[in-house]
Amino acid sequence: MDSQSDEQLAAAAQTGNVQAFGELVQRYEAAMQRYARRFLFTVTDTDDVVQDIFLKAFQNLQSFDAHRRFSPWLYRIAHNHFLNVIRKRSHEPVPFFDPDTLLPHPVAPDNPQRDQQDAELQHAITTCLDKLSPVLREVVVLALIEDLPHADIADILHVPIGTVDVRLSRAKVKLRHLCHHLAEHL
Amino acid sequence: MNPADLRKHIESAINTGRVHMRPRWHFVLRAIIRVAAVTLTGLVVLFLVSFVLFTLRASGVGVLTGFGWRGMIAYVTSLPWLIIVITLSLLVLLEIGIRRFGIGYRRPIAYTLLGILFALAVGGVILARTNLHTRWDTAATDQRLPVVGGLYRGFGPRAQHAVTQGVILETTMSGFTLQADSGETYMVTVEKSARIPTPEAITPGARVMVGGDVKNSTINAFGVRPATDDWQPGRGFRRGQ
Repeated sequence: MDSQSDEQLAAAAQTGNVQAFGELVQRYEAAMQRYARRFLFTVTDTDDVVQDIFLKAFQNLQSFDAHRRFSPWLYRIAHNHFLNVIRKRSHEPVPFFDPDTLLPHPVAPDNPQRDQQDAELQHAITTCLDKLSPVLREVVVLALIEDLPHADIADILHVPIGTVDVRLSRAKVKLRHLCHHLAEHL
Repeated sequence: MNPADLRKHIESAINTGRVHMRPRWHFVLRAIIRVAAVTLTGLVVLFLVSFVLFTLRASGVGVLTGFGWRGMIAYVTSLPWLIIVITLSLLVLLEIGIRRFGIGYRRPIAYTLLGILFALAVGGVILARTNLHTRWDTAATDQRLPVVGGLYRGFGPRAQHAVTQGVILETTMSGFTLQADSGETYMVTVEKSARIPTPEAITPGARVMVGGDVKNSTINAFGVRPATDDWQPGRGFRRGQ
């Protein structure tokens, strides 16, 4: 089962193979935990939240097209579930409409290596991520922590790829600013 | 919880029947309903756009724009605002519906909205130029059109009263008597500041369009023009004496 791709496992699980779904759970548990802990920083019981994601994924497994990639599909379920959790528990404002989706933005090429080598940015992510709005925080988690391609993030968030780039660029600027501000007050 | 524990927990929930996989038909049906809802909304918006265009054209309210600022005010107030607001609301719903699909959310709202507006403008103009609305308007007037009959009777060209069309029966000192197409006869008082064509055009037997405030059987006209199709907005009329 280890040699099978996510999509092959998902197709097997669709036919009722519980072991195949269990394997998918094991493969994605750590990623979902990271996503939950960084995105839902005010929620302490992320174990339950992550468990709910996999249960929802199983319930909706027949909606997955095995010809497409499993990872963005699962992240999309997690994204929707996390937004519900934020709305219900932390009461952080999650806007229904994002003006960044209104107009086209130039698409910047992915450059995760440069961001990983940027010590200041990495420090800012570690210390100031919780001070970003959910909209900006999520794109930082997906792009800079989960290292997902921007095209996948666009599909997860259901926004144009240019919007992902704009949010990420805005988040980086804000993170650096927050970090400087924090350092000045220490 | 470590990964092995979570896996066991999930597998146990599935095996004991605490969680069920929804059947494929559930998602197929949901997708069909979504596509049908978006398509239906699009068709309703297209129909309403063409209806508004037809009403504006058939009622002749466009001529009001050639009657000065009072004509412009009368034109704006005579627009079927309720239908326009409903159309705009449905347009927003249509955009939200389209953004649920990959073809929608992968593009900026400006692009999808412009695409929708372009399709509606082209489709609306084409549909407004067919005889569909003319036939349905006649059927609605004769009480032979169910469902949308009320739309034509309430907001169609015959419901617009800012412009009265008819034949001049006789001229008077202050204006003329008009036999309207609706069968009613009006005493038309032409205001001094009214925009009118050459005085010769106001002669008995001439077909005219009159813009003005209708009260009982009188019209205080702020503009008159011959009811011919060659009139072009912006060419202007000679001011009345």
